[in-house]
Amino acid sequence: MNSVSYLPFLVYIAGVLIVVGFMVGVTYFLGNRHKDRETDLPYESGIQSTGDARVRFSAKFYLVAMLFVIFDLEVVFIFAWAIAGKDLGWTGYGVVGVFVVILVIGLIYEWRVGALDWISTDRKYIRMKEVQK
Amino acid sequence: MITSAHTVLAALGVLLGVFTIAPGLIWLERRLLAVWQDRYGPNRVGPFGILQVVADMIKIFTKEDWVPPFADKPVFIIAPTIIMLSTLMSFAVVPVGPNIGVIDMNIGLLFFLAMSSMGAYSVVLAGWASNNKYSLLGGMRGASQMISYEVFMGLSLLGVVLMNGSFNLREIVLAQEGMWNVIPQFFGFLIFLLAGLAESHRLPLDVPEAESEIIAGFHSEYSGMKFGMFFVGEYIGVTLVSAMIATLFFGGWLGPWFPPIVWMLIKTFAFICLFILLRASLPRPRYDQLLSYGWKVMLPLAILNLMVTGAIVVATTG
Repeated sequence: MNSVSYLPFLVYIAGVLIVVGFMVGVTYFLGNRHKDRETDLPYESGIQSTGDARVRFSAKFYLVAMLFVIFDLEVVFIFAWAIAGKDLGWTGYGVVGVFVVILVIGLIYEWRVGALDWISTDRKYIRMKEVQK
Repeated sequence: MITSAHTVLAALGVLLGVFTIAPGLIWLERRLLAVWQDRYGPNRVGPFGILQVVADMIKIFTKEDWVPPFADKPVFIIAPTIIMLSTLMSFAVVPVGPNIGVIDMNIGLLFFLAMSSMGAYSVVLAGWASNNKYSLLGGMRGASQMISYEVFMGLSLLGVVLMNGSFNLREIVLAQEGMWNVIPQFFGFLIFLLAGLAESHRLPLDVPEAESEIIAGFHSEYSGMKFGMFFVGEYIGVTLVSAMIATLFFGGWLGPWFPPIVWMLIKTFAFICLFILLRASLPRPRYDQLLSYGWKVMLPLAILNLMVTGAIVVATTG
């Protein structure tokens, strides 16, 4: 591999930082300022805001984040094979095949358990809800 | 010394080019949407309304830069810079021509993926720092959507990496001399197109913003140029994804008759127009439909595409 000059890259980074810094900073000087009765209230569709937004939110978002960590990490391992896939031949393909099969089993399990559904349609879950009533 | 001055100028040229194309897209998008919706669009300021961009820019720079007193101020200010920085940094590895581009990185593709996933921080931090319930919802939606589609964005590119045996974008372009990657990697291309749409959270996949449901979502408390940065950042993201599709699947700068850079611009422009056409023609999916579509359809398809490509590549190289 040929040696790469990092000078243009550094100049580019500097240019990007200057432009972005300018965009953030300049309205502080150019923009007007006003203060009315409702200026400092959060904009929530014109409805009177109650409480702040530091509230609990659906655990489903957390579940998606966990699925992401699991699968993205496995993608990173496959990257290491993909770059050398031609040289490793069928041996490498077999090893990655086993890895992917395990990954797919995990995906099927999550699917069956209902982790991929935002609203659970599982009968057991619905019956449990009815019992709780 | 002359060569280093040349490359530095090329780097600044890329930056200038991005900052010409991205605001230009604001005008282009409004005009094209107008054409497809059978109306005029902006046509008053300058020839064909092209100076509308300048007028908008002057206006937005003189707007009040309101930082909410109830917000988390440092995070509120940092969030819009992250989306600009991450998309602009990704452009550093895009090869615009045989010798034009900011840096020729051996891990160009990985750098692109790393930078594009940084964009998720911008959305979730903006939504969190705004301290507004709709913004919080938008930020959470954005984070889930972007990280879900991140998974198979990486997987869809693995087919290209397998075929060319390199993360270097220049080598990937040169390897497409005989045949564009889109022909053997058609499913990879489709998956990447969709993932790119979700990553830049453009319509129809703009559920983090969804003005009719959660009033612009993560940036509803932003005003002035900070809002403008989210706006321009989105257009830079569209340009970036279009340029990456052209580079990875459509032979980048390769093409007859015209100079290489013209081909690169034509291909990028074609995909930008495709993105605008998608916006004009498709409705927004429901949020849970979007996520389950990603995990249940695109992820298995991406894995299948990878394993079939791997088998064919190994079999043919023998």
